[in-house]
Amino acid sequence: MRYRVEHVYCAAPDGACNYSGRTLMKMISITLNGERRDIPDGSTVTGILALAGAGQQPVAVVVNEQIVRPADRETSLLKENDQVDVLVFAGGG
Amino acid sequence: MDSLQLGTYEFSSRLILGTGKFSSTRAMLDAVRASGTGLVTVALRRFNREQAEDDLFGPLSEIGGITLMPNTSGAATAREAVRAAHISRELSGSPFVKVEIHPNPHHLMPDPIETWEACRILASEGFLVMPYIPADPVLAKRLEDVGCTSVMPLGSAIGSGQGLSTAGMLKIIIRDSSIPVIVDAGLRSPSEACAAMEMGCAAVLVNSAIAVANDPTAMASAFAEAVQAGRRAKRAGVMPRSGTAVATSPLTSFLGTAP
Repeated sequence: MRYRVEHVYCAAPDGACNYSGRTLMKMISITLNGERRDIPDGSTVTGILALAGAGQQPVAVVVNEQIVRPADRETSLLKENDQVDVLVFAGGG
Repeated sequence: MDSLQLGTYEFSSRLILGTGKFSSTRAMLDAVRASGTGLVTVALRRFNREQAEDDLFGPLSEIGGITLMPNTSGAATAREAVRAAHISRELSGSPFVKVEIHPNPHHLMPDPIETWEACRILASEGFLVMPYIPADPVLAKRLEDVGCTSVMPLGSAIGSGQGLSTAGMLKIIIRDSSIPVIVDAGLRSPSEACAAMEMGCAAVLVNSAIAVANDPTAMASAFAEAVQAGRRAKRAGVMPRSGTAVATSPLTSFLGTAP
């Protein structure tokens, strides 16, 4: 299992946070458009689209050859070794 | 109105435009507008944030009145083509699919066996299936039998500009088909598009000839006019060929001749 050190700071003006400091974030490895990427465990398809820079425009998303519709992306959790493809329309004849 | 009927869709233009090879998205959009087309092809590709301008969905949506026909380019098998069609429909919302399966990048000839299998599956699923095929009358009929909306035989190899090198076979396909026949690929000039329409094609699909012209917008307009002229000529009735001369002026009662 891989972990990444994440720095977490309390931003509340009165300091009313439960935690401020360093934490270990569990990471998983996926393939995004053919490239291996380490992402935080618990990431959703929506989160990955933002990571890929495709959060704004219409795209098709395929995870392990299954189409993930827009309505399901917020709740679709990714897991270790998932194959994710984000697709758009390019010019073609 | 002499519209192009494809499934439940009607198009006033009989020119279908491909969107590849243009120097820029702006040039492509200008050509689409100038062509008057209502149906354009696009290709499914992985998103690349470094080349976000390649994403044509948004720009084409802005034109209005444009229906997308995603192709399955890149697929080498029926299975891959069916998968691409499913993903494309999710993105486009369009029932059209141009089935395009050419496993060899050197000649880009369509694989008739994989094409037939993909068309059979997609037509049964309710797609409006428009296969790019070799100019083969037997295959065209078999594709009609499995429910294709049209057949799109090649005039010549993709991007070759060799025109209607398959004219003889195209005429047979047109004669025997009960579904629209659309010449796809190989057209180089508006005169060839006109000839295809005079021959009886329901429409033509043009990409390279417009995209690589010095002035794509002007060429799109020229193709649009040629397609209209060819269609009108076909409906007007092109005169038959004659093996001998047939005079257009009286050959009798000329000056100084016997009555």
